[in-house]
Amino acid sequence: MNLVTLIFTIPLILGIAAIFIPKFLFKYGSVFAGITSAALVWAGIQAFPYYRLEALGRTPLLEGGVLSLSLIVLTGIFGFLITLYSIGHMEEKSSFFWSLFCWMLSSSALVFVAADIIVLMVAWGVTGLILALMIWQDGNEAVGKKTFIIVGGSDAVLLFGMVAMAATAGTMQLGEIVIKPGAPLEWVIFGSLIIAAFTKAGAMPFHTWIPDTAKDAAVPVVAALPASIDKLLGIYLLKKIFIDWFVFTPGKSTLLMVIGAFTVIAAVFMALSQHNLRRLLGYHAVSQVGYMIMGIGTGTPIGIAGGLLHMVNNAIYKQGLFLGAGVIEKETGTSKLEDLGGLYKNFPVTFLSFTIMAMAISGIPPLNGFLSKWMIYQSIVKTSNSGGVMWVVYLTAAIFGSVLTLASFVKIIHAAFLGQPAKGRKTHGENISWQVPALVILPLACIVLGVFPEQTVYPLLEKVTGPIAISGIYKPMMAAALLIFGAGFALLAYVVFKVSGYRISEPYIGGEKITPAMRVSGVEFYTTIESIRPFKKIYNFARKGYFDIYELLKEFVFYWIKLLRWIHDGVITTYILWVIIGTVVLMFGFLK
Amino acid sequence: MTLLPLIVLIPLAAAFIVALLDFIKDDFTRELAMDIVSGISILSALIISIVLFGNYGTYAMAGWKFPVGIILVLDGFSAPVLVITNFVALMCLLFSYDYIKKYGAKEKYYALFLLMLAGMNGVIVTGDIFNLYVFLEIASVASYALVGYGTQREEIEATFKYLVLSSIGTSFMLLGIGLVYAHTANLNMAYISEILASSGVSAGQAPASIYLAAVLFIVGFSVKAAIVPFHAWLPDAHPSAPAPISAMLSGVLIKTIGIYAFIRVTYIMLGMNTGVVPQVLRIFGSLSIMIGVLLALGQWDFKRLLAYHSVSQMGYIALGFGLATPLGIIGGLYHLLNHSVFKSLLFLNSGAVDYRLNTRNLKKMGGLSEKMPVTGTTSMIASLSIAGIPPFNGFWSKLVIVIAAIQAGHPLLAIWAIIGSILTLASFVKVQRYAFIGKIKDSLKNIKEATALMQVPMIILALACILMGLILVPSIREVILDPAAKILLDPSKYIELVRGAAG
Repeated sequence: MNLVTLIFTIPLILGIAAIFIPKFLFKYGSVFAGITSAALVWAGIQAFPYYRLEALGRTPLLEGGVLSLSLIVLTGIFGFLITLYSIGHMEEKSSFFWSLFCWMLSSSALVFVAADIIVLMVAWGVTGLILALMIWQDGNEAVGKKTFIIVGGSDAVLLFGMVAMAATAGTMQLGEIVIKPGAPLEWVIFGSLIIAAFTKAGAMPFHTWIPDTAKDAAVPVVAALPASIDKLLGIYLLKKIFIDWFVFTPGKSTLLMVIGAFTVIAAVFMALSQHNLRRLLGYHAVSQVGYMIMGIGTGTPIGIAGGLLHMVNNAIYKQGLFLGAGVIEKETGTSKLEDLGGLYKNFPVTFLSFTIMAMAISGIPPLNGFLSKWMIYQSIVKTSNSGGVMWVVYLTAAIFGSVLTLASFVKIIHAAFLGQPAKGRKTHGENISWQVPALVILPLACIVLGVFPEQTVYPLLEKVTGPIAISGIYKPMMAAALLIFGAGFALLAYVVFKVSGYRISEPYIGGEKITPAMRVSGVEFYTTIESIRPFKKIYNFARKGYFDIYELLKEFVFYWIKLLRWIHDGVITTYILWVIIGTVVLMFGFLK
Repeated sequence: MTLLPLIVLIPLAAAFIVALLDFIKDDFTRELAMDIVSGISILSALIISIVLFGNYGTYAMAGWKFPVGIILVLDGFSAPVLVITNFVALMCLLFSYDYIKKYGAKEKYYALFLLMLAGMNGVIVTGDIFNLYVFLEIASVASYALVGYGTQREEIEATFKYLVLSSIGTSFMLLGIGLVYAHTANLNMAYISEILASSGVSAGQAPASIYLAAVLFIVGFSVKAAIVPFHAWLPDAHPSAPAPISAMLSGVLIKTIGIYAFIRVTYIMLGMNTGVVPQVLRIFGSLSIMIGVLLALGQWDFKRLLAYHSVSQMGYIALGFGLATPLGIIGGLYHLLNHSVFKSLLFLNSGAVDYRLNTRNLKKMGGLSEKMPVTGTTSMIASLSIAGIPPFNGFWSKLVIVIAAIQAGHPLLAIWAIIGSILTLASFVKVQRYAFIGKIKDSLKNIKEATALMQVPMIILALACILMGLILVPSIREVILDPAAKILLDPSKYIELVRGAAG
């Protein structure tokens, strides 16, 4: 079967067929999504030995190299895991969900292999539409509205950028486009294209739809789009724009680095202060994008490789974290951190899986999150060769952001899994069935990619970016071996020195009895950060929506609306006056 | 070509027949007879327009030869507009069968409806400027009556405003025709075009009276097309009419007697397809895009919101034609066709909601998709189309307009159009969010879906929204859109067509 059949025709037909599945057979619709995922993986794998899509039959509208192929395969795998998860997680609802799911995978894949601006724009726009429809399907009217306006608006900006770029470059073929410095409209085109990429990926200041969506949309939807596939889409486009279509200039690089650094820090600060597990994860989904942008923004092979690897890593663990949060929410009925606590006993699988991925996102070696961040740090240091001191700022932001990420995940782990259970929380056990594959495979992937990069991702990345020269003495396998050795040594010491004479005692607090009301939920400590002087103001402004581009533009637009309504007073003489003014103006135009 | 006059005659005759059917005493029989007569007449007009499509030529009325008599012309520009007008009319009529029962006086309604259609078809096919004016007045007068059809206070007020402003426009047109006639001593548009071309209109050498006439025509047709700053009547008039009539007015009337006649008269008859006229279209079009959409964003009245969007979308069409490049004209015409379909669909949706809920206030709706799935789904499709979301038809025509604007060297206009498009999206996302998405309100638990006869046209129009993207496929585009661009950019082709066929 050729590529078009696999990634377009099959999903389209399956999606249409899924509409007609009656509601009570909802779960069986997953077969359709599963087949679509498999088709994507199959398409990628078939072409892989050749490293070119053309191996599957040439079409003028589609092409792709290693990066495109890998992303298709990844999308297929993610789709498959989330499909399985959904069977266990979702209640019966309209099977249109599966139609959207099939089309989501298909349109994402089409973005990765588009060879023509029209194909890219349409597929890109459809992914945004599907996101909005998926959010709306669960009845989240307000969140869907905001998301659709921001994402759909950025699609319109992309349309302009693409068309203007094609006009400047003189071709619609994406593979042939090169915009040289000083070309007409260079910065306008660049700006509009990266707005689209940033909005989809969730970089600041176009990120505000992500925390809202993360909090309210169905978990499989969040895990599939904002957490993983949207990241792939946005960063893929960013790489295309910055590396392939535009010629590298320091100015553009600085722009990306500054936005990236700002995103890392600002979003992680917002994450720290969240009380809702999913919203907190949502802010991390924004923060991590900053690293990817910084990596690609350096324009060095190692930076690009690091950025792309971080994109993949982030898609893996962020998706897994959301899925884990979904398991908790389904059983406890809440994702407010204050209402959780002590879940590790009841949710052993989720706890283990969540902890590994939390470590990965916090950049703890030897997990994959550390590896890609390490590559990005190196690329930032390398930019110091070209002079300037800004690299220090970027590097500080990156490292500081990583520390704060760790801090906020310590908060989650403590508040949700450790600590004492909240009062009145239902203590059902873990109820997972179809969710298991995702909860097991995703953290395993974090470990494998972190420990064995030479055997897995490096060869692929080098095909995309050229040789990656990693300096320093970090060797993943050695680091892993040392860590395992260290842990083993500790265990040995524990056994040998018989650290068994311990006892478990109740905490003593001045003779008072511990009541659930005295529980430390793990959220309180971080509230102190909010009351520190400059932060207090900033957090306050953030809460009022002063940093939300959506709210700001809304204010601006409604100011004009007020003005226009004032002159539309409904009095017929006013309207006749306009006609006369219009006529006079025209007369001047024609009879001067 | 002998079929061409029938496209005007059939609805015209049917209008009088329907009015006469009032003599039937039995309610059921009378209504059925009127439904059948009006339905068949519009269906046959639609079939004729499709049969004649691509079959360009002329028909001399009563055998009077060119340039003396009235000549009907079917060319590359009129053919697609003719098809879409009759198609939308048929859909609106189907919708009216049940909908208009709550207003009563069906015979008057149908008669006016058919009269309006006859007027529009006449405007589209006529080759005579005075004849165009007459048909335009027929369509306008019928529409005045239809806007005030409910005879409530605000409906009468709306129709009064519409009447006054429109009359200013039409008197300007008549004055313009007089000025042109004084110079050319003829009313045939092809003939006038020939004379004016030889007197050097485009080079600015023609007498000042011709340029004055151009101003008068522009004002007159802009009032009809509701282009800013001549748009003020529309937001009152369109929402006040019964829903299928709103659909007709916004969907096709402002296009046929507005922008179509505007382009026909200025580009072809006056031969001013370069220079100031396109510039005026671009400027007024851009103003319309923004002012229309901004006012729409602040609206909570469903139909008023749609009416303001008509102003905004007319701006896109004007912008497309105003670029005066082949691609720009293709984009403008394409958007005209698309807008006819999705805007009439949206007005029918609002009618279906109004029919069951008796309200146009978005705040009183909520979660309607649950109880009205057909209305909800079709309105979603139409909203996505008008917002320019791929793969629906509105996306493609806006894309063509943006490409054309950039190619013609107006990137700022392209950005302007994009901003308008984002605001349009915002506005329709709001409509969906408040009216259709989510959990249904408790007070609305007992509502039902619109009747089957009302669902059918909505479904057909929604399918059209999905399928019309295919018009851009090169082999189809060459048949539907390209001929219009050729004829508008080179009026001598039109003259050739009229002369060649008429001898």
